[in-house]
Amino acid sequence: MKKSESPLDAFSDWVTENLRKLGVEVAEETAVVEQPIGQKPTPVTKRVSLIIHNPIVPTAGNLPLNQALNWGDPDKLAAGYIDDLREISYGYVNYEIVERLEVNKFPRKLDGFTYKADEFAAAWKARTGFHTPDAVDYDALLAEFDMIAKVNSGQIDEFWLFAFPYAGYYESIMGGPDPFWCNAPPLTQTAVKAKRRFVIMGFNYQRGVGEMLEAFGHRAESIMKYTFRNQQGDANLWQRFIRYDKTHPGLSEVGLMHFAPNSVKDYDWGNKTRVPARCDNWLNFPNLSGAPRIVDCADWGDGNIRGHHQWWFRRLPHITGAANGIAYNWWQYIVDPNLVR
Amino acid sequence: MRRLLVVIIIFLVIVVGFFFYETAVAPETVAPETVETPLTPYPCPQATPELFTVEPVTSPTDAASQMVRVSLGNGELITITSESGTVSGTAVFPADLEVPLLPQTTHHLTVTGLVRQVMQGDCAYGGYELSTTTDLNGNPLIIERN
Repeated sequence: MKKSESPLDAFSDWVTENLRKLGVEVAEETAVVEQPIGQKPTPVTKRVSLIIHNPIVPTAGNLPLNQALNWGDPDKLAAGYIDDLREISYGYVNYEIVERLEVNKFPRKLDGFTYKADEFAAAWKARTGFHTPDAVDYDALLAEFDMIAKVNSGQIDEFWLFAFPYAGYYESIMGGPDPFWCNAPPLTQTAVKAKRRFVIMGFNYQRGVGEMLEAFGHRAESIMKYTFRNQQGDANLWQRFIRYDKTHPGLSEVGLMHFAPNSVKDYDWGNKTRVPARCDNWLNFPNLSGAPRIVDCADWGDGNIRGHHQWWFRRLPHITGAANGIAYNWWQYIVDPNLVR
Repeated sequence: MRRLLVVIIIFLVIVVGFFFYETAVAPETVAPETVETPLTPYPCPQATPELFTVEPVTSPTDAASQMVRVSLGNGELITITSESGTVSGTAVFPADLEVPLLPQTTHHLTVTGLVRQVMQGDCAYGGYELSTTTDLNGNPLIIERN
């Protein structure tokens, strides 16, 4: 408890402390307003439960699925993702895996179906026979891994699910009080029991860190759009940030996950067309008055998915200060949706 | 801000206390365990692109053609364009396409894959093209025939 200046402050500290003991979320007295503009925000650490569905495949010498099919190592992928996020957030985002669960089975689908390992491996080799509907049963996941209790106790801030292609996960989905769209319909069934919002990420160990950053990017897009939902016109800096040349000819800024400043279609990160863009002005946020410069795919990795996404994330505002009630550090909302009002 | 919070909490405690005092004999109501799903239509989730990789090519070479191996998730058609022309093939996984090579020519390959469109509920996925000029290691797809 910090030193108080008056009896009322002392009383308010006491109330705050005891509310937190009871599990009630009380926001810190907004760092947003009191910190000087333009400083580096205090880094945050978020606790992660890593849940890996990696069943043993009997017909492949009892190897786990990722090894049987020569796919990636989820631990290495997670480590690369953590390192990337720390670096591209300028040290602000620090994920810590505090729980690791490797599960020798397939997650249950929404209709109750569950793959058997040999059947799935055979379907993969034939590239046919995958179950539809594909969607996974999130109620079953919430219950099996006791997710809400872990969130409520403060043990876990978010969950990272890792599995195989066609696992049926959303790339990100939000639960908790008043959950909102996070590149997936919110888990409204958690709204009553969960005391704070949380995100469940869904990753695929067949793919790479670039695809993991894309999943995180779609989460960022959803959360920032919602954060700025009540801001109109020029005050809606998110709508300005995502401009690209196809939608705003000559007025491109940074773009979206799928659309770099010069993209003409989804995933068009290797486009060599040169367009003017004010993408670098975001590195001087909140001063966005600089002139545009001519850019092409050489600026963001020549079509490399990871390169483009790192470039995009580095341009998210990441300093202290606020305007219109929204922090200049957009990362804080993306990693903690409880701060979104 | 914190002071305001304290005042609000005190006020709420008084109001809630009064409410419970006044309704002490009222029938107990049970809070619903679940919240009804709103009828708001949601957008379609954004998806990452399908896996699209090209194995490294051999260069330089004396051969008149070279097999190029391409993997495309949910692929429908693969096309390879170079100085020698265009070859296409159904995107079985992986697809091996034979690229003819002109003598004493450097071939710059552009590999394009068309992803099959599929429906998931009301959402359409696929139906787009992916294109690359590099192999899965990031090296350019260039074949020089002697």
